[in-house]
This record gives sequence, structure tokens and C-alpha cells, in this order.
Amino acid sequence: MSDAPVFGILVRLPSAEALLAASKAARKAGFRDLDAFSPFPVPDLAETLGYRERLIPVLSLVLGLIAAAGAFFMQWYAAFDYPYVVGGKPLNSWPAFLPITFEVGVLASVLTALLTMLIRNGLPQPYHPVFNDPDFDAASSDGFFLVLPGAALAEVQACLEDHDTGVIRELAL
Amino acid sequence: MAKRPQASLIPDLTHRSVTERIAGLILDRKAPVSWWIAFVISAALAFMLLVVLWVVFTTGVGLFGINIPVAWGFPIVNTVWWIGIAHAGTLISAVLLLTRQRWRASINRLAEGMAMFAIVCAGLYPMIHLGRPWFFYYLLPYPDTMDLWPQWRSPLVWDFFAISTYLIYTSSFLYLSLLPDFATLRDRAKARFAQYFYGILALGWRNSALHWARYEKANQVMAAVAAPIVVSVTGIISLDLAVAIVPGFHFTIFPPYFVAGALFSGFSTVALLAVVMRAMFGLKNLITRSHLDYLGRMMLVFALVVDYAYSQEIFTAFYSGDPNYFNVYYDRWTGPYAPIWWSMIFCNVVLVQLLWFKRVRRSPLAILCLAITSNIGMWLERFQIVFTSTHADFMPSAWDTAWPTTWDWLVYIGTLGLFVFLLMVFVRVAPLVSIHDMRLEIHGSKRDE
Repeated sequence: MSDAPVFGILVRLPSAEALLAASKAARKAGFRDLDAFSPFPVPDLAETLGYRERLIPVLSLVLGLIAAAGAFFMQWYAAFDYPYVVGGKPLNSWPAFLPITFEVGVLASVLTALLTMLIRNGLPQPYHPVFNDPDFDAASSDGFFLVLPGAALAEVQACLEDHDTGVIRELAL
Repeated sequence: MAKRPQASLIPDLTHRSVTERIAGLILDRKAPVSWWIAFVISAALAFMLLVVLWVVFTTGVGLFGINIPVAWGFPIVNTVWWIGIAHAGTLISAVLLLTRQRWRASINRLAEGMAMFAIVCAGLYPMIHLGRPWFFYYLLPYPDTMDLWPQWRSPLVWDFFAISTYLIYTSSFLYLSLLPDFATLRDRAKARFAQYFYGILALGWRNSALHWARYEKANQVMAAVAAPIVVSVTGIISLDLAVAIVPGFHFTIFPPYFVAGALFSGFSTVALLAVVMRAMFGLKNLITRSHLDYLGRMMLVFALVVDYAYSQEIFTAFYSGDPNYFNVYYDRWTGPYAPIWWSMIFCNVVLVQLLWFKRVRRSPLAILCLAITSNIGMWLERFQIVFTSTHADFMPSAWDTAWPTTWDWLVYIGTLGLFVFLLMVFVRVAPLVSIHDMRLEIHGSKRDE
């Protein structure tokens, strides 16, 4: 492992609270591009790492509204393009157009939320250096990991000296 | 706000043990005998459905008991029934997520899976009922050479959009919830094939905090959209009836009434599946009696809403002063379909009152029985709405009765088989309790203590 190029440093921590504390300390010490791994979404962890998710709800709403407007326009256009009077109702009988307008808008916002999540997370991604660590499987059971890309082992050890850490080791690229 | 600790719901579990336990159900353990029995029987029934559909498609819908005036008949009864079951699945999962109810962790996956497969069954019927199912794409605004558009004012077109939106939504929501669990299975799998299989499904998910942050936001957006979707899909289906001028169909209370009925039958089905699955896979400490208690309460709540809707329907019919409406009710109570009406009242109004008792709600056997009778009751309700309203409308010269034929029953039994078959395959491929939600729940209850 020593000859392989190094991606960064991986620190294993015993609990969600320790992970949160260590992330805070590492951020404070000036490490950037940190990533933390936990078996469930730990509250405030992403914020500690300086990340805030705003795009997904906004984009879902905007694209949902655009799609709904498009669906309404399609029906309105079709009603005039192919005029067909039933029971003396006006061509622009808009209440009848609402169910489809609503469904199309909702479908667009749902798909936007799902796809934005996948794209922003860079999924599908078959390879990532963290998978090289032999213990990383624990991230999906009871393991809490902090990864510091590009950091040096000694620096990280010095920074997390006062913290309740488990293993600290280099992560191969 | 003081949080009530919910730790007692799932005692003595750690992150590791719950992960190993649920993943082990799929990866290590051989399927229980009861699973094999259910699998073989349901596979046979699903195969029978294929054969029956082949006969129906080659012969025509004349095989069914539908006639004029009862043009809709059995297929529509079953669509509405299946869709109702699907809805509660979505709503349980979504609303309990938004309201941060932690007890959802044990049952949300079951509810989502149930919704997914129920919608497949529901979507089959309108296609069969078209008579010429190979023309179903006429409902889409596709670019055809004759420059024709679908008729946007037609409830059939609304249905098509509603059901297909719902199908896409349900599968997206289910996949999103499965994604971290597929990663868990990938990490635990020993066999090469399973590693590849779950590796591909997991898309490289690696439990990163940034992944989780976006995941949670996407999940919240989808859950927030779920409630309007559920209300709109059943609402639109009920509009198919309510926009007609036929007495018995033309009620403004229909959309909320159908939604409540959908939730009632859906909660019953989740309770039914929860009891069956915890017995089949030995999950008594993951899906506890307290979970059954909560499900029982939900069943009772929605049953009472449905009962209120019955009374409103009767009140409206008599308050309107319209003799045709009176007639529908006299006919429902004393006519050829009277046994259906009274059985419905017995199941949905009388029997459910047992759920007021805590001992009943906490007993798996009692919940199982009540879930079955509630589903039968809801099916009878759909039956009496569709049949009794159309078989005797304005003109006595057009009155007739319709009864389901053997083919009607075979299709219905076939979809029941298909539903169980898909569910049985699902529980062997994907975790039937959401692993990551369970871990979060354990984390939360440890913090409360």
C-alpha cells in the first residue's frame, strides 16, 4: 500500500457524535473538501462540512410549474386546434383541463427531485477511492468515517489529537 | 416540544445487529417453507392470469358480465379497489416521513412495495376494459398523421394520466428508498453474483454525508408531493363517476369519500401484510404489537370517515328531493344487490368498531381478521357504487342486472395472485424492512433515552 498513490486520509470514529465533533475540528483546522460517511443521515453533519442543499426543492418547484403550464397550454391549444363543442361548453373549458395539468406538473417535479439528487451526487459512480479501505463496508452498518482528501497523515493526527478516534490511515487512490 | 420517547417500540437492537438481521434475511437464510408455499401458489395464479388475459384479448370483453346499462362492471370495481390499496401505501410512507413519526421505519418499505404492486394490478383493468388494449396509446398526445388530439375533457384520459403518473411516482419513490439499502446489501454480499447485482442497483452509493443531505431533501420533496398525488389520483377516479349525471354517481362528496375509503383499505392491507410477514420471517421484534396497534388506530380513523361519508351520501340523496335518488337508495336496501349493501355495512361500519379496544388492536390474529373483512367491505362498497347506480337509472325500460361471470372472477383472482407473486419475489430481493430508516430510528431512540 505504501507505494500506491495516496488519495487522502481516512479516520474511523466510534459514533455519530464523535464524527460530528471531528468534522468540526477538521474544518476549523483548515482542511477542505472533507467528506464524512455514516450508516444513516446524521443531523447537521452536512452543514458542519459546509454543505447546504437548496437546489433540489427550488428546481423541483420551478420545473414542476413550467411543466404544468406546458400541459395546460397543450390542452388549450388542442381545444382550439381541433374545435369540438360538446353540450355547448366553451372551447376553453379550463376546469376540465386541471387534472392533467396537475398530474403533469407533479410528475415533472418528482422526476426533477430524483434526477437532481442522482446527478448532484455523481451517481452512478462505479469507482471511488473509499471502497479501497478494507473496513469501509462498515459505513453501511455501524461505521463512521471522515475522509480528508489530499491531507498528510501527521497533520491529521495532530489535528484530531484530542478526539476519540479509532484508526487513522492513508487511503489508496 | 417534549418528545415522547418511542424507545420501547424496538428494544435491544444496535446498528450492527439490525443491519445483519435484515440483510441476512435476504443474503444468508434459505426462504421459509411458508414463503415457498405462497410463492408457488401465487406463481400458478399469475400464470393463470396470463392465460385468462390471452383468452379475453382474443375473444373480447363479451366474456365479462358487463352489459348496457352496467357498462363498467367488475373491471372498474377492481381498479378502484386496487388503487385504493396502493394509495395508503404511499401515504403511510410519505406522511409519516413528513410528520417525523419514527414508528414508520418498520412498515414503510412494506407499504411502498404494496403500493407498487397494487398499482400494477390496478393499471391492468382499464386496459382490459378498453376491449382493444392494443390501441391504448390513443390516450396519449402522440404526433399522429391525422393531427388528432385526445379528448381532454374525458375522464378516461384523466385516468390515463393519473394512473401513469402514479406508477412512475411510486416506482421512483420505492427505488429512492431502496438505494441505500442496496448499498448495504452490496457491502454484505458474499456471493460474486449478489455483489454485482446489488452493486449495479446501488449505483455506487457510499453513505457520504453529502449524499445523505441531497437524499433527504429529494425524499422530502417526493413525500410532500405524495399527499396531493394520492388525493388527486383517487379524486380523479371518483370524478369519472361524479361527472356523470347518473343518480348514485353524481355526488360532490365523492373525491374525499374515495380517498378516505382508499386509506381505510390500504391501512388494512398494510396491517394484513405486516402480520403475515412478521410471522413468515420471524420479525416479531421489528414489527411489534405496538406497530399493529398504530395501524389499527389508523384503520379505525379512516373507517369512521368512510362511515360519515355513507351517512352524508344517504342524507344528500334524500335532502335533494329527487325521486331518482330516493329510488337508488330503496333499491340498494331492498333490490337485487341488497345483500351486498348490508354486508358492506356489516364489514365497514359494524365490525370495525372492535378496533376501539386496545386488546383487539394488539392481537395479530384479530388485526388479521379485521384487515380481511375491511378489504372485503371496501370491495363490496366499490361494487355497490358501480353496479347499483347504473343498473336502474332514469328509465325503467333500460333497467337490467349484471352479475360477474367466471371470467370476471378468474381475472380478479389472477390479479390477487400476481400481487402476492410480485410481493414474494420482492421480499427475497430487497429488504422488507428499511435498513437505513431502522438505523436512524435506533439512533433517535438512543438519543431520547
